[in-house]
Amino acid sequence: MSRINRARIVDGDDVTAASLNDRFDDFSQAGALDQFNTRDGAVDLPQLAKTGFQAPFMQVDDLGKSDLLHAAPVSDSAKGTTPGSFSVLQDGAANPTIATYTGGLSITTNDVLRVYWSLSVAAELSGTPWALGLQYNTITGTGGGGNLDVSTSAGCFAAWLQWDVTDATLTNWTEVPGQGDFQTLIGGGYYGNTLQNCGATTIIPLWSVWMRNVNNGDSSSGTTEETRDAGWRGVSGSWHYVSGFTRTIYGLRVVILGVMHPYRATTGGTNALVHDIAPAGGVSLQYTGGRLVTMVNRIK
Amino acid sequence: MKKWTQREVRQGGVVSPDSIQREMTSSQSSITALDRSQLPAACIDETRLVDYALHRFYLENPWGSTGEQEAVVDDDTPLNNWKAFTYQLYTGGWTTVATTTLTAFKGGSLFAEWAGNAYVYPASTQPLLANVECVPRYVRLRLLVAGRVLVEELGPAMHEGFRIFGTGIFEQGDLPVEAQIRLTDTTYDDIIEEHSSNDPLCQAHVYSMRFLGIGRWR
Repeated sequence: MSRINRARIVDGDDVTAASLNDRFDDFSQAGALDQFNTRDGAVDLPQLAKTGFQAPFMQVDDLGKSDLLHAAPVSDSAKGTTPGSFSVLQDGAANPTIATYTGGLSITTNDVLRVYWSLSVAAELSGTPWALGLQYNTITGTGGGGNLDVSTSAGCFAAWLQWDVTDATLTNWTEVPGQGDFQTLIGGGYYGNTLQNCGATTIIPLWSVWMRNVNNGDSSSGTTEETRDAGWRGVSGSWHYVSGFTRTIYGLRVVILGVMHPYRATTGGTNALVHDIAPAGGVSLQYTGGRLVTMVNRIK
Repeated sequence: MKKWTQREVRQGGVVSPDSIQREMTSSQSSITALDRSQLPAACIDETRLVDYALHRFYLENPWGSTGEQEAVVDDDTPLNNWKAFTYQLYTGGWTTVATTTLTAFKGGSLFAEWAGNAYVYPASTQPLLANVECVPRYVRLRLLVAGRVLVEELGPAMHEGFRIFGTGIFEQGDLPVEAQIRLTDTTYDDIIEEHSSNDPLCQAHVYSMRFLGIGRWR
């Protein structure tokens, strides 16, 4: 320690060579200064090296197709077979839009990987897809109105993150930790993920259906159905990850699949999001451009 | 900046205790209390900082045991609904759906974000027979830090992803964080049950929840 702690010289003390030398030694001790010598406020922004240790890595990549006016957006049809195969976001010319990292992006146990992405999307609907398959419940009709099928409005596209942590060939894409591939049989012939395996999922809405003139929760003689397609909107996703070991990431990408719907196999079963093929013929998801931002921060 | 030399000893002067004492005290002070003007620029890098010296990240992914809210779970809903919020079990008002603690927050700036997916049943937006304006259905969202609102939003009105974030200045301590939702208030004409079985219909759910907080003290 470099703190100097020696009793004062007082009247009557002998001034000797030894006593002086002891004091001089206090000032010449090896090891120099440490925390005892540095004031609490001694370290400020000028003292911090510009090595970017709080945010050592940041990269922005394009997703989808740049088309501000939505003149010719990319269209992705809902899948009519199950388990459904996802689509990778592309630029409209069948080129996948993904994030890649030169030489691989290495993260350690002290790093936080933060991923943020955005996309401009709109539902493209024909017919009444909200009234097919799992997409509705029936309410009672009284007062002149018959029983009525009312959409849950829960039908959606799911978008989620995949990464390649194998090599730079980018041929080994897998779901990021906490995220499933929506290929698991939940029950009743429906494939999907339990909700606890949707850690990197962003839900994209397709429609909203509401009822006019419902009376006491029942349909009446004047009950009508109002519907709206989910128009152009910005959707976004985010994901945070701390690795238990050093690993290298070679690529990240966003994939989509629809139409999805809530489901559980039995009463007491686990909540799941499953692929519902019944409405597929009347549903596409249009999208244009977006960004995928990759950040690495030091956790401490 | 402190000076070392207080006085200059001259030939023929008298050596008194004070003549040594003051010199020593002066020099000692200059060494034992270095301030920022005496430290060189860019002398601190990552290896010279103790953990959490400047900032600290707080992460919950998933937030809660599964990322799903478990505050209201009605298992009587139809199987094409989730077991979640129903008007039969939801008591109204702000309901806490996830919590965490910002351990050893040193005091200073806090950035916090809460992301996930939310579902709300919109069918009762315009249910009444006559002369009543429609009432859109929302999953209102807010984050409380140490009991105060950090950020609040109207929230999703469809089945969609959300991310809300805010910043604020907070005191030192182990700060509690609560994520809360509040559904649009019901009316007596809302659609709340299915026809054949009278099963309650799911009105809302929140899932895929994750939390990120960044405390910065310097």
